[in-house]
Amino acid sequence: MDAEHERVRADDPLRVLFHDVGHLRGPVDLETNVLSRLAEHAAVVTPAPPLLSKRSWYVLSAFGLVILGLAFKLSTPSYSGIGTMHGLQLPNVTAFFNSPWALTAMASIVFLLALDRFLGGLKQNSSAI
Amino acid sequence: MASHDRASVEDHQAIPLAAAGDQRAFAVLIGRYKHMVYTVVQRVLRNDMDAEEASQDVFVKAYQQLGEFNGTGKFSTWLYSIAFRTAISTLRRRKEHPTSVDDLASTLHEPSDEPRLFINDRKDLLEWALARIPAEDAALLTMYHLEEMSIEEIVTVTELGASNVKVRLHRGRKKLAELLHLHLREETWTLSTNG
Repeated sequence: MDAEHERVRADDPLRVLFHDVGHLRGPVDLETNVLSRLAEHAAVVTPAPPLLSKRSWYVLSAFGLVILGLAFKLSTPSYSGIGTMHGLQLPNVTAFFNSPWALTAMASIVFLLALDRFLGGLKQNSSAI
Repeated sequence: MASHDRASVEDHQAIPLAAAGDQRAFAVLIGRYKHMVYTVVQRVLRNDMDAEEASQDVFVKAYQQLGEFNGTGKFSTWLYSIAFRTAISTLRRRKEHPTSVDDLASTLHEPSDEPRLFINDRKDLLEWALARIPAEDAALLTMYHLEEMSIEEIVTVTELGASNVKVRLHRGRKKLAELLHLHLREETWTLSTNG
């Protein structure tokens, strides 16, 4: 807005009238009423970011897939030749991935992180209303 | 916040404290902005009880969303947008589901443009005229003339297009000027016939 516009706006009779009248007087007990409502409805909703960002999800998923693929390949009887690579000890790796405890633990971690992400999304949506 | 004088606490000090849950800091912000919020809400709703309740809603929402205020814009503009949206949604709800005889009456007939005699002061005159233009336009005129917001700020607050805001402001100003002239002409006529 240029200076001329500002000058015209400042001299505007409607502006003068609005400024003469000023703000309407809000209720005197507004602070008290708002604070008592806040006390009833509890605290500030500050949406906590999910533990894992979307990018971390992609990286971890890719890593998990590689590990699972590798484990699957290593556990197949026809496979040979990679056993000595990277110092992997075949029996331990396959035994680990065949253990129901290990699978349950990994599934639980994935489930809890997915739940965290889902609930984080819900919180953000509700606070935006 | 115990030893702070209310007036001496700046917004940029009070906002992070309030966002962290300090309700006394938030009370300072309410005290500072309650007349501004009440004015825009009342000019949309035109009913003291509804305006009071909506003003409370505005500050409760503001408190809950303080964590999202990033501090890049003015706090007053951010708060104003919550106030405007709350008032408009309350107005729409009231029109869809009138809960009182007053609500029903206001949906059935708009106030007449007939000049009202014996308006005591400029405040009554302005409120009388603002009540005779669309509620959104009354709020826009308040933002423009009283809060001295730019068109860009009004666009941010209302989420209307810039051209729409300009049209509404132009239309509202024209109608308001007509109403005020009408009243003043009537007042002059009354004075001359009585004198």
